[in-house]
Amino acid sequence: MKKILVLSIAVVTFFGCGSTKKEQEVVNVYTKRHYQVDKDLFEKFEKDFGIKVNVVKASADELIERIKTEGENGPADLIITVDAGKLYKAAQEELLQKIDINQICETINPSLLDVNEYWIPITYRSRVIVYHKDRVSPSELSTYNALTDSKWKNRLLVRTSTNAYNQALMSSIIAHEGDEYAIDWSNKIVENFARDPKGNDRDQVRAISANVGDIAIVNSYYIGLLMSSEDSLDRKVGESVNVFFPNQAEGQRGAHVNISGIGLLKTAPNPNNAKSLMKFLTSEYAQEYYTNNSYEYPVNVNVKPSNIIAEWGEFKIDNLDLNKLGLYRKKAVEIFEKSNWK
Amino acid sequence: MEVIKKKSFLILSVLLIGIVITMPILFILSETLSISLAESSRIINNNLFDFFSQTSKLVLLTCFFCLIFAVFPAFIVSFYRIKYKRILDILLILPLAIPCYIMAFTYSDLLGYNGLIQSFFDLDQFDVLTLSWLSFFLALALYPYVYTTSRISFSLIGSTYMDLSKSLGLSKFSTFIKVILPLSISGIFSGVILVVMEILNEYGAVNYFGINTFSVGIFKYWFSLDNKSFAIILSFVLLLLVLFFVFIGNILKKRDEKLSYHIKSNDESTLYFNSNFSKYFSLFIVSIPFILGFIIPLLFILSNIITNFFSYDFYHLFELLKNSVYVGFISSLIIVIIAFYILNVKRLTKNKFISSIIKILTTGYAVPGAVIGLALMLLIRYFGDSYSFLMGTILLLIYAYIFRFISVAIFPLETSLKRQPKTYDDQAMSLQLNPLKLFYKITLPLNKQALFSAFILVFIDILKELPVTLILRPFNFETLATQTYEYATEEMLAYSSLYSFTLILCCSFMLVYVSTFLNKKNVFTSK
Repeated sequence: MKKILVLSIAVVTFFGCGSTKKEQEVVNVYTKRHYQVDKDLFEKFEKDFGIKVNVVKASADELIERIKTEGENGPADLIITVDAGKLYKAAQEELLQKIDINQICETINPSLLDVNEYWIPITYRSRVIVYHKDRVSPSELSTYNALTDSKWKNRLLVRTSTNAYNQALMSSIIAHEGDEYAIDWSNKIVENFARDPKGNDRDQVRAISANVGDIAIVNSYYIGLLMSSEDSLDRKVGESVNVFFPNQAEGQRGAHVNISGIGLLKTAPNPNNAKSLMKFLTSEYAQEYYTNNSYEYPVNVNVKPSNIIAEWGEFKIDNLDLNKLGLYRKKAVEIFEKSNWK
Repeated sequence: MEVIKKKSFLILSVLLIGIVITMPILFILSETLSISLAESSRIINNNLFDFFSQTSKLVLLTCFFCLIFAVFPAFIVSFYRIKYKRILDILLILPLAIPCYIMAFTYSDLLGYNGLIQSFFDLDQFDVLTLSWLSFFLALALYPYVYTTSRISFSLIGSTYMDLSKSLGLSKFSTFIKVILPLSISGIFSGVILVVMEILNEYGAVNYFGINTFSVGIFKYWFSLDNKSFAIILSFVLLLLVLFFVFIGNILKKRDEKLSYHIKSNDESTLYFNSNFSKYFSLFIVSIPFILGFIIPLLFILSNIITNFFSYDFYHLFELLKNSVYVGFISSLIIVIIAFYILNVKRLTKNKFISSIIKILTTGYAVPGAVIGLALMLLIRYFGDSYSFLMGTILLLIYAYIFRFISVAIFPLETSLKRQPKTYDDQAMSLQLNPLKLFYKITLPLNKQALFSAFILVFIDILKELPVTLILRPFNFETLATQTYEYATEEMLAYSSLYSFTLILCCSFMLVYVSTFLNKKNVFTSK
């Protein structure tokens, strides 16, 4: 028994004694993004600005719950999500404060900005169609709406409806075309499924390469990640498909995009440090780093997309107010339910 | 008079501890009550069935695979004269060191379209992301629960029974069906209950495979549909389901107590193999669960480590290990102390009320971690701003662990305490030892080994724990489990390998320690 006691005391003192550092400038970040790129950039920021970045990573919804729980005295300064809809939700819950974009970065693509000024984008991605190079000709593809055509029966792959990216796409369809059309669209897409939805975006592309289906709806950067993978099999998968940006013709609305974005909390204890970090993440340095490593599109218009994604060409983006992605979220999930989109 | 006073003090203290620990459950219950009847019946009519059917399919199929992986090997190891029984026992429980999500992610990587197997053999391509495959993978990680409980029940069946059935001319097969199974059904079932609980709170793998279980549903409704009522009803039904299983387990146990079949005998292994072929074939079958559940995933992870060796940050590994061990150690210690205290009060007072509290406490194991996290947050908000400082502290994390894992400590301790003869207590009383001295001089030394194994089993579970840690952790707090999960969900399994390997290694060492150095019977009754 004594041994246990001694051991316990030893463990507690060994691990428990926090180093007594002097007061350091910090910024506290709650983020959904758990990519290596972000970690690298935070480290760079710490080095350049002498401000320590403290991070908690969890899903956006959980983080919002946590911020609400922590209330007035909460430690969080910033929330980073991979979906404008979640930032809209945070703003609706009155957790965010307005940001003067001119204080942060003047060269952000204006169509990606929040009209209510509650959040700023840091990267964007498009939800695109990928198709097998041999089995599908790009001339067969045109719009999201055209995916309902019966020629795609048993050929279309997409992940489950619990996924935020699909919910955002559906929200954009509701916003543009209305509920009734969206229900019809969802029903017909479900009829065209090559298999029950499962796996992540990369798995859909793998399934194309394994001949389970011919086209898939995925986020653009996954193709970049597959093509630059160290795994030769993944590279082969990435090279077996091409990217198609839907809705590009004259008079069409452009391809659906969504952002990774950042919001400053009302209760932020370190607002100035938070703003410095926002400035840094939208700076040309960070934007270049993002696009070259995570294959997302830079929001700073002075920065060019990485070579891999530049090869897919420029495309017209859907200029929908991105807050609508949050506004119609609940309706989107209800429609998914009704049409049995797993 | 004084004795009664002391007793009621003890009961009160357990009641208080019970209430504090079960607050998340009580909160869910009270929220369920606040949902109007009309609304809840609408919800139940609409959607509950789908969640129910998918969950039951997954549970039934996984249990089926678990029984296949567990019962036959346990039978061979228990009843046949074979060498190296102890080693087989240890090997067969090692898959417990691999968390379900690592098992599922590793195998879907290995067997998927793009995986080693399909691309190497150029097979007709098959889809691995299905409910059946998932239950197979989950069973590989979970069958040791059933194996251990089967082993104990089998080892309790004395040779007298075996000799009797032999002299009655029963074949080995009918001995198994007619004698062994009926005698050990409650033991096997207690392992199955643990498997069921694990499946019910699994989230990562289940969501990836696109299966609508209760825990996926809770998330979907809570967040995406902003329908807390339905999420809470789902959690409530989940709790009922667990209580139902615990209830059946109790009925079987009671039935057992009436049958006193555990006739002592000197040697448990009475059966011989008919031929060398049947011997080696049986041994081959016995080793399959271990090969599939441990060797193959571990080799795959190792090969990933070797190819990526130079991209790892070993300092980071040390940090993760330190964090994992730190919270694991403190929480396990507290959990074991609380569990032991409650069980001792139950023993001393023989109060039925306390037994019910303990039963409610054990349901925490099946509550999905994320639900615990959310319930805790709602609870804090309910109490008001002055408690909000608790968020993001290790304290809250430990509290959540206590709620979630106290049952893991309760099972082995309860079994061990049951074996402590009552006469010891009576004699101590007659010697006028006070309860504290009785505890220190008799109960503690007698249950030392069970305390150790309870501690280690809780520790292993906390090392593997994921959802609670994800939601409630403090700033910059990564554990081996969270880091593994982050890479795995991003499909960067190769990068997670070093961390998952360390996690598996730690858990394996502790499992081997528990099963080698501590009283064997304690271990086998432990879970």
